[in-house]
Amino acid sequence: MTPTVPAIQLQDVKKRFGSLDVLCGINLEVDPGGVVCVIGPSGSGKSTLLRCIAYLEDDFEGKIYLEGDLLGRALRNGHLERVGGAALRKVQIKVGMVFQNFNLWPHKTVLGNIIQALILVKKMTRTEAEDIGDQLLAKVGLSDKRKEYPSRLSGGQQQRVAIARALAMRPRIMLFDEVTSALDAELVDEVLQVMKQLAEEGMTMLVVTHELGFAARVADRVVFMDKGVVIEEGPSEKVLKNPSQLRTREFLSLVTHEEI
Amino acid sequence: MYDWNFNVIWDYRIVYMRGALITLELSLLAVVFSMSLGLFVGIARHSKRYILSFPASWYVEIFRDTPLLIQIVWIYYCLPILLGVTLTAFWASTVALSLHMSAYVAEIFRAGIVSVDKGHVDAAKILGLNYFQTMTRIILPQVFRRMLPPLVNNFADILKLSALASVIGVYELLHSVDNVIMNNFRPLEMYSVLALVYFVLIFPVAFGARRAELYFARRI
Repeated sequence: MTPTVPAIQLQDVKKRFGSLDVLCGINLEVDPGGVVCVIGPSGSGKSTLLRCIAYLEDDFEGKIYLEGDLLGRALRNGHLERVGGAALRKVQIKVGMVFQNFNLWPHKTVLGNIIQALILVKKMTRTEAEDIGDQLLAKVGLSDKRKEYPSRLSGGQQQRVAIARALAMRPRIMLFDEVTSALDAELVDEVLQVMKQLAEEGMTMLVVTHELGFAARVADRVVFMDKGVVIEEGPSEKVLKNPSQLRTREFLSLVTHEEI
Repeated sequence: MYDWNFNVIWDYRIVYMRGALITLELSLLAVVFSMSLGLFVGIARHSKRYILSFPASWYVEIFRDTPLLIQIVWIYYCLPILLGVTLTAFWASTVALSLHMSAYVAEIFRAGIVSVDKGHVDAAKILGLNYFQTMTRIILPQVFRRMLPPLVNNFADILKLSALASVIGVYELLHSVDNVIMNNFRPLEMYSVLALVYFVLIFPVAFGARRAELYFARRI
């Protein structure tokens, strides 16, 4: 059997902001179709990790492979060099990302948000793009909101639109950055439901979350990070129920205590 | 007791109208030029590239921190000496006013661009929009709405500042009226009406912009 190429592979990824080391050598693999949840205290570097994989942070050290392709770097004469333009886009386009604060464009309608990149980047006609937009809105259950502006939607609805917008570009990998943290408790489920459905359809997902219930139900693997380091990684059942590291245990007891 | 006499004004209505026409012409040209120039300077000033932001910063400081009156005089009298370029009084004033106000417009644009949520740019970036597309489709449309009030201020400023063109003899409103005053010795009446004419020119734009603002506010 030939080994499958990981959807995401990080090799010794380091990132610093000024004198602050945010990521201190991260090694991580996500299999195609895998769902990996990243948990950990705030400030542990989880979001930065996603932002590096999305290439929103471009000056990291180390290598990030997406489906075997090096992201934003090329090896020339044994040296890692930065690449931009088409070489970068080819790899970056594999990734879609959803943010904590939705980041919908407020001056565009729901449909406008979804089709913008299809028209500008994929050079589709408006009709083609709107067809895709309508399909995705149906998928996230918001067909009746297509002409609304984001400010008229609830947080949960906005986040579902943001997911639809990311999916429109047909990414191979979806990154979720604390997508339910800004939502009122009663709106969390509708977003998690969409994510669960996506996971069942076989999308590769890397999910930074505080929703341990979601991690337990949906994720194959859970990564616990603290202070820019992966402390523990393994099957979700194992890490969440029976962690081997003391710090993981401390964090989990703290979080579950908070949830009471 | 001063004896007001507004009856004379009617005889000079054509002077006001001609002056208003020149003032409008000069001001509208300055609005168009200063907006376009200010947009580029504002974007350059916001740039992370020093080679763009450094000259843009100095451009803003030079034109904002020196008097428009002197810029007008300088462009009219010094450019011919230094560069051999001679502009008519009208165009010298238009250029000076445009350069002067573009410094303010640049700052308005820069402030607007800074005010756009960085997350909106992140979202555009990850969806594959390039810099130009992000600027024109995501950032500037949001910025324009927020910039409407300061831009209306700017428009009002430009219209009133265009009176400075009178120092090099452009027959805009102020200069036209001054000319008449020398004949009829009715400065108080003439100036009072002059103020009213400026008001009539500026108010509809301010009113329209306010309505536009409310319209956008309802939409988002």
